[in-house]
Amino acid sequence: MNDTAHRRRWHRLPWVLPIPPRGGTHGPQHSAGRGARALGSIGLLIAFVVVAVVGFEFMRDDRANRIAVVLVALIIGVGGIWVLFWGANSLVDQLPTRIAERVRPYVFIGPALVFLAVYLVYPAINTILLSFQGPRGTEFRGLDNYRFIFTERAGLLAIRNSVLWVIVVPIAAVAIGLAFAVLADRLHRRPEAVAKSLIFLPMAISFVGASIVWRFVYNFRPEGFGEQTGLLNGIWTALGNDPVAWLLSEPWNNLLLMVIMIWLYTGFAMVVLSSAIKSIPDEVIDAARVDGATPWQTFWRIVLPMIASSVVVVLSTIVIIVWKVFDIVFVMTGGQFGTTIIAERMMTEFFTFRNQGRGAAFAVVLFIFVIPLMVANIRRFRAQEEIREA
Amino acid sequence: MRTRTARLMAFTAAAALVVAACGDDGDDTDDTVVPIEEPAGDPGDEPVRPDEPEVPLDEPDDIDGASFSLFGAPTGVEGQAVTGFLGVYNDETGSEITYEGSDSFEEQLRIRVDGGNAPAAAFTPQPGSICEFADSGDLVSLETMGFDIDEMNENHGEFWMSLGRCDDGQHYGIPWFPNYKSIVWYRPDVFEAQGYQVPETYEGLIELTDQAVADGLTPWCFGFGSEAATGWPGTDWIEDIMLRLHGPEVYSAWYQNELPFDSPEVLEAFETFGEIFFADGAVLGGTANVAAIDFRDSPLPMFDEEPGCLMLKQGSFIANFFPEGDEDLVSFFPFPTIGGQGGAMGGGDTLIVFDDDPAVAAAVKDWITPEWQCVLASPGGGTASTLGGHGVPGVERLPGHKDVSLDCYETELSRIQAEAVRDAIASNTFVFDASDLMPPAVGQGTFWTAMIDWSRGTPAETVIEQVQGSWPAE
Repeated sequence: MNDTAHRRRWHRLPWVLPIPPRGGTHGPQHSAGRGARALGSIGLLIAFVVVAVVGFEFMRDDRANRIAVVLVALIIGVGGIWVLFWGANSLVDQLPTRIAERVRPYVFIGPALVFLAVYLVYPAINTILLSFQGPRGTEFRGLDNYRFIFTERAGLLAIRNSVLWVIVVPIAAVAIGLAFAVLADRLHRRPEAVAKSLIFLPMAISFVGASIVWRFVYNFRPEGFGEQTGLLNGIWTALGNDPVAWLLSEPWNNLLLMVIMIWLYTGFAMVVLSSAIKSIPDEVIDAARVDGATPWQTFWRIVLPMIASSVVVVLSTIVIIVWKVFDIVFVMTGGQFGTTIIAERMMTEFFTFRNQGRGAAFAVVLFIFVIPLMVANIRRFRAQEEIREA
Repeated sequence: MRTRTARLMAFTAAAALVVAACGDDGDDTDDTVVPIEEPAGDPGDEPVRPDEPEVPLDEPDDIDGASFSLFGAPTGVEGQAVTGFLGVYNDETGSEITYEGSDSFEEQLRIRVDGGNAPAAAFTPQPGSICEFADSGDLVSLETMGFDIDEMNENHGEFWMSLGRCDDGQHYGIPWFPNYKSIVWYRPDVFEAQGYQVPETYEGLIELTDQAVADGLTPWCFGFGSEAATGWPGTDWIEDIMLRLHGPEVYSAWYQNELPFDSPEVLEAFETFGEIFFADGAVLGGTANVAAIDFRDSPLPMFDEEPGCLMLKQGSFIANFFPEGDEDLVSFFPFPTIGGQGGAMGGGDTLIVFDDDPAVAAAVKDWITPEWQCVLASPGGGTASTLGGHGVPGVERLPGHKDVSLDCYETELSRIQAEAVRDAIASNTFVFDASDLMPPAVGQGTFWTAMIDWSRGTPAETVIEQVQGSWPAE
């Protein structure tokens, strides 16, 4: 089954690619026409190279009109892709049919592969090599950088906090999002839309923007520095307590930072899970009700199992984002007061301490932590594809 | 068969073209960056032939005048002051020197030098970058330009000169104008009402602290908070105390880690600071909360009706964060001496020369003289300058030469600072902020963390060991 599906897909590949009509006015028999076409494509490619070179020079000019620069960039970018594929395709047409059909897929997939290699594979390999080197990336240091990460206080703290983030944030965001999705499902259409929009709203804010908003929530002024301006301390002191320097209180400050991320991603979880819940057929729920299931039982035994795959997708997506988030910690505490995490530490090592080797090692550790999730995600995606094809 | 070959050829030709186009960038740079071989000899080496009276060919307009571009970090009014200064200089000497300031000076300079487009001269606030450029052979040494190093050590201070001495034993940095951080701000009216004297010694400062507490006042405001840079205001205290406890030589050894960070000398500095910091009731809001107070907010309680605190140690720039209109409520005194040892801690802009051109060297030599520093000192050059000033109101630059007249300054605040800096240069006790000179992993990392941890109760022994442990191996 797996094998046939695979073969079938492979066979289909050439057909999904646009194949220009063969024959037509310039039949393949007229070699003169063919030569002209070949010349035309070469000419077009040359013209494109000239336009690209001149255009790049123009775009680098600081004094040029901004709108003109944007237009040129659009023409070169969009037009360039078109010229590239059209030119390459018509060149392939000039080849004998048998060869042409073999070559064509590679011509179309080629640029993407080249970009992938240049912008993804090469930097990844380079980062791994760099992680075995010293601060300037010139001398080989063996496993020194990894020893730092896995034995020194700063490295261990970053790993501990990152693991906490990855456990707490996705579970909390999904749990709250799911609760909202289930409860909102019982509202009328209008109020449901309003409630969901409000919860989804934070998604539109950048991490840095959200962090700045939450700085005002956690703001603290010691005695003698005026009134409390932070929301949390405002509530806290109104209840008769002394103000607290929230961001300095280890280890709870870590949780307070996670709250920001949870606030941002609950909406995402809610939207996806809500649509999953809505796709459960009413008959199933009705049947359960007829059989005497309580709403609680219905949720745990019917709704949750039926949306399990969506829950997993949301969870793993948020986990991957959480591994990579550094902005919140960077803006709120700069990694001080025991709040450092791997991604934040990576940035600090690279750009503040200018220790390229150690920064790269943190990047590799992050990469290794994310890999299992990516593999699991891709596996599941493939499995779903199989189901769909069958 | 022939047609097929032709087609294949067309295909390969086109492919080759695409490849060539992709490789275009590399070829281009090869074509444009033609290494121009400069005559290796120093222009000064050429025998001067008196029978050839004509001017050098590459400078047809004026013998004296130089024509080049100076690159630096200041922008805005600070940048205008440099431009104003160069305007006076150009008028006086018939030169055509332009100034270009950039907010991202450090990155831009690196990019321009790497791209073969270095400015003729620049001035950098980061002395650590000087030797990076010197090691890659981009800078002209002071020895090559014919500066007298001994004389400069005497005029500009050995410490500052030592920052520009690189691995080859030559000097590359030319001290220009410093800034000054060893400042304690205070409330003169409260001091007067309470009968307090401005302390001359650190012991006096401790006594004053205790006295104020005894009188029911809170003597100190502190604020270590600064987002990702939280902790740095604390390092300034340790640095000023290190300099005064142990002198500039030990200070130099300390920032280079020749004196380990966990040595008794450093511990002593923490303990000395602790005598004030941890004195009962000395710190407004409590010592444990100091890291939560933004340094920009730290002066505010000093301006309250009933002053929340009487003193704050912070650089002169903090005046920008004083409540508008109330600036006159506070004044400052230089950080007091310890065991008779004074000094000044701060930073400074150091000139570096990329272009091996005698005209550039001559101009730079002029700029560091007391006469020209006087022009740079204030808008009108005070009463001392015969050439006027840079013409930009509100900008005053401290002296980078021990002989700059105090009359070059137009405000009392600048004059007090100028005097402290000038005396420190003359007595070889002017030093740069050590955390700026340490490797970034320490100076912008663990040293800051150490101040935070220490302020919140971690013993000094522990924090200095952690800093020493984080020192990069190199």
